[in-house]
Amino acid sequence: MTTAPVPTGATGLDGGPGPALLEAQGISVSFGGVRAVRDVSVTLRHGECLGVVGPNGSGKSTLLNAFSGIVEASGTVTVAGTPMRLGRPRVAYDQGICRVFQAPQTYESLSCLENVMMSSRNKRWSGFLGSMLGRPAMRNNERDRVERARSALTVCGIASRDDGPSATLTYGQRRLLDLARAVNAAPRILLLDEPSAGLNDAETRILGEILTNLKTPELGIVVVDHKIDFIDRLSSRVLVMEQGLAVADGPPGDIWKDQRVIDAYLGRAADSAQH
Amino acid sequence: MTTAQTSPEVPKLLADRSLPKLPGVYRQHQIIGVAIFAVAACLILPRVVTSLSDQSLMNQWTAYSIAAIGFYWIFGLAGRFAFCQTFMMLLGGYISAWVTRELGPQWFLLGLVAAIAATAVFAALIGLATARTGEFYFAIATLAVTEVGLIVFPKLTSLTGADGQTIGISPPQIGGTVLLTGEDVFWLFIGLLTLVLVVAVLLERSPLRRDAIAARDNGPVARTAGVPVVKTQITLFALGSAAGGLSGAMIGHLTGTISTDSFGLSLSIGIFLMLLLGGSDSYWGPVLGAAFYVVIPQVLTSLQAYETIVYGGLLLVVVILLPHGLIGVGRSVMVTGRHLWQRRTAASS
Repeated sequence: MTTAPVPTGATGLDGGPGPALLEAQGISVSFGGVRAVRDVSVTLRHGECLGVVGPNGSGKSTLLNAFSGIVEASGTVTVAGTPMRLGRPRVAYDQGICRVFQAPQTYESLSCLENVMMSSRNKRWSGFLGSMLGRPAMRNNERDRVERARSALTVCGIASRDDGPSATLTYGQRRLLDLARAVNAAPRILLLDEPSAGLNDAETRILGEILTNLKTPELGIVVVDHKIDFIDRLSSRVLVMEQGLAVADGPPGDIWKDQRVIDAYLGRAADSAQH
Repeated sequence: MTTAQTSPEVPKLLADRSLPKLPGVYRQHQIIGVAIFAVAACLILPRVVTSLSDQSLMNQWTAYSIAAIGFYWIFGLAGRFAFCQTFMMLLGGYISAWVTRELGPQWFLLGLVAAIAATAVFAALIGLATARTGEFYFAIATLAVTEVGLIVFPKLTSLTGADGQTIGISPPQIGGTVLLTGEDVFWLFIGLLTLVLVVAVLLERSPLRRDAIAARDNGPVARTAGVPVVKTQITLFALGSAAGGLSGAMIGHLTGTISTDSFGLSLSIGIFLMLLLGGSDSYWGPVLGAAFYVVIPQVLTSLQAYETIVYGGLLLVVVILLPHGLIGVGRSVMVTGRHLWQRRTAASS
């Protein structure tokens, strides 16, 4: 994996605060007159898994969109100390930010292997001239890309599908294929948008195991999800969002006792029940 | 001390020094298909097609096939609807005619190269200028390029001739041999079509195809996966336009004339129909579609008054009933045949 060197003394990996991998300050995203994310500041450390929770429409996915450059956003983001230009997916990719979307984004015209290979950081001899004039070099680099993609498929538990058509995958397998594509890109920061959505308990457990296996002292993970136990098992820290604002940030044990979180999740229901 | 038991997998693993297998698309023997096509075309067509008018149609088919394969790269593979393929054909025709007029007919091949280069560069510039536009605006922009070209070309008289009509273009000439007859030209044109098909095969078996499909089917996700979406689309637009330029140059040298009248909107739609009729998900589709496009109107001339209606009806039937084009029918027949064969062999064993 292409990862930033971890400074000495880094703890992370759920063992306490390591050095900052991603630092976002004052992130705001607006769609017309609607401010989907409002002045959110968050830090992700090396080896840390940050869970993001909140009601529907609270801006969780939009925050991931801002980090992955899919939407225009204001504010500042630095990755391992390097400022990153927002609103450019390619810049985010180059910085090692890789994304898994809420709905599976499988390319059905391509095989499983090709779905994963596309995210390879090895782009040598992959252009037109390379493909036409440098066939042996192109094929050697393709083999390198194949090898890496197969490893990613193995890590994500779908190696058996390999060169098969992606159109025949089940919903759960398509989710894993998306994850394999992100893993293949050697992420420094992995953004997962509701990875357990639509999965049954057994599939969610398997996904949790795969994500736990992915954890390294270098990798930072941001996972948005509605399944609290899934977030609890995976995350060392939880960010709670409501109406575009970050309303709480801390260890899962503390977060679920926080009155603002209780209000955000349960308060209105309790209020409306009383009325 | 007990001897450790070695897993039977270990020696196999240590001995396995094979290189990783490439994706399935690399293992398809497409190049053999192109070779069979070229040999079959060379053996059959010159014997079957003997009249001058039919030879002219046959040569038109090869030229249109190349233009339509170019359009397949732009639209079928990269997913960009460009309405300027005929503009590129026209530009290629003018450039090649100009080169042979200025330098002499013996520079015919240089004319073709100049046509390819000029159209590729021009398309790349259009591609860069429209890189951030959506699909709809790209289509409109390329339509505008064609329309502007049809107005501007007649005014560039030093390049295009009076009223945009270049006449007296020299016939193809290679190594001092002038290709005067339809059959002579056919050998050259089928060679050029085969070369373009070889490029198509190499493209299909390359990372560029994967990037193009990723960019076509879901650009935003492809961008987050590091796929160079804009670069890929511009590359294929330039490549497809270059094929258009080559086709235009071939038509110019075949007919001896190039004019804006022959490369208008109707031919733009015609090239789209070639791809649609043949099948837009394979480079064989345009070749088949071009044959259909060239031959069917000739067959239907006996119906005279009803020709347009019958032709339109046929197109409608093909488009509605055959969404994957004629090539899709062939593919279905092959799959059914394979199933039947497998069932038969299973039953006999």
